[in-house]
Amino acid sequence: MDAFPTIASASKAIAAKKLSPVELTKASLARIKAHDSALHSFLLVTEERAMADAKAAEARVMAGSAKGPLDGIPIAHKDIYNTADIRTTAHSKLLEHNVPTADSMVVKKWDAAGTVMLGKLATHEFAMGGPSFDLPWPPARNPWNPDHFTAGSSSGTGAAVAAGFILGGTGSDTGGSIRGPAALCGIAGIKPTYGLCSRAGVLPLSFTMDHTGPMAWTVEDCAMLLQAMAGYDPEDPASADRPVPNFTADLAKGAKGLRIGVIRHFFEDDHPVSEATRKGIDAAMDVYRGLGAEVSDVTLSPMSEYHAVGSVILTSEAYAVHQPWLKTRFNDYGELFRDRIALGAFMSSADYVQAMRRRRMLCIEVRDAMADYDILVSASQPGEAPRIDSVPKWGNLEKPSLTMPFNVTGNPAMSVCTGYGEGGLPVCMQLIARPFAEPMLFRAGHAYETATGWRGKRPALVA
Amino acid sequence: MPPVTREEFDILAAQTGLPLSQAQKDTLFDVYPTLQKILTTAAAPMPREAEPSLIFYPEVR
Amino acid sequence: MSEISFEARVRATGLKPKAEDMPKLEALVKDMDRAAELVRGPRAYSEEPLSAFRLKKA
Repeated sequence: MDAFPTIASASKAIAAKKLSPVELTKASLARIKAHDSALHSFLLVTEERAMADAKAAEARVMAGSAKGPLDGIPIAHKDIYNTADIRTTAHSKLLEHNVPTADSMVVKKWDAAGTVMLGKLATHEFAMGGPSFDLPWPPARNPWNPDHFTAGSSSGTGAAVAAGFILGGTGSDTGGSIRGPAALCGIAGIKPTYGLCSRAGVLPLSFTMDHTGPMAWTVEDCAMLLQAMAGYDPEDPASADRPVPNFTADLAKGAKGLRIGVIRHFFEDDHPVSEATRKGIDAAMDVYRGLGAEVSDVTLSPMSEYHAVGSVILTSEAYAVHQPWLKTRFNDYGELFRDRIALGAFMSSADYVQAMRRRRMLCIEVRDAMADYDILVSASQPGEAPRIDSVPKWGNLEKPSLTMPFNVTGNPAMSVCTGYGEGGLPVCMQLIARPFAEPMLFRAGHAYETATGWRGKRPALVA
Repeated sequence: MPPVTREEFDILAAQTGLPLSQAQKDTLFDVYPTLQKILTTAAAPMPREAEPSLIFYPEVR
Repeated sequence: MSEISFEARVRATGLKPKAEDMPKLEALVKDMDRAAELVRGPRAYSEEPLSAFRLKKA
């Protein structure tokens, strides 16, 4: 057995009865036992459940009645996804003993696809605000160097996938919480189009900015996971009632003929990134040109405008969600989440409405810009992961977020690893497509990944 | 948006109804100019007819 | 809602009503405060608003 199979390779091997879901699950659990004490990516390992799921998957495969390509694949869920009879805490003291009675829709869907659930993953408190050291559990650490940050808020998923504990996992993204940890942990992570995946049963942070989505080692694996995640859900008022395309169908089409627009001012002027990150993006554009794509620069409004709109909406909506607890259990929150969210109390209803008006204008701007492009490109993070003890408390406000613009507009956006920086930690780029054009996003990402060799290297901690 | 004095900020903080300690108020006062800048940027002049991106649907789903 | 004076609350908004309008305004704001308190009433943590962000017409 390959020490670190991808979902695509494991799926083929399982279907060919060359790989046992039970053995694959045992190997994952053994790796977690050996290494997670240094990474803290799991808040809860559900070993018994995992072995039961794996045995059931194996029985189906042997009987010729496998559920599909995800049958027997080890996964885990960010701990804001409700799981029936399994603790769901949002990594917070406020929900330390919360045991939901029902699964969230995405958990149900992955369960129906035959995945093997290994447990619940660390997150920043209520999907915002980390790294925090004053919560009931420690923050997840970066497998490439445990002294360094994972980014967040889907911190546990980023760490666990990079470490090979799981082959894929769920994340959520309100301002970059999938793309950030995917970038700093050197994996792939997609924030799908707003409305594509159900948010029902996922603890909300900001109703109009929250997205659910998958994280995995490769773009192809993300496409496979999204296939079992997307679709209309009447229980989610924002769910899009439209057919789900085949997300892997265009993977082999390559990049020939793609029109790619680089939003260079986002990462060179508005929030200048590290040299390694910029060089990684430039080299990636050379790869795309070599594959037959047309690459040129595109200009949008300054990123600070997108960031301001996103920050006002996110903070206002999150404050509204948490207002009752903030008034009665203020000091039960960790300092970072509490202080950041408290700013929502200083915003007026007019501030929120103005931001919503500006949001529509920005959506139109991106729509119009994309008339000439299939894919837009920016950075996902400003550089390699910083030390976990050097993340500034108000870093979320001081510089405009590179990921927030596409929570504001709802476009699908994905982090893809473009190599490693001076510290040996991953750097990455962000690819963006038109609303509901995920197949195009996966096509572009997969073309780059298969033309480069970055997916062949794993963190030394577990390699 | 004009800068707020500490006295004005304390009024705003009291209006929130949150049980803020003195240290918590100090932290929020320090970051308040950044918040004001963000609010000003988000509300920069736009056409009077600019609609919000939120749509109200009377048919409850 | 808070223990600060109404005059201080008005000053914090940046609005400058006439002195003779203040009693009427204070009465109106008290009504609004009561209405807001009712709106804030207990509800499920995950209860969604009725308006939604939509990329395309439903």
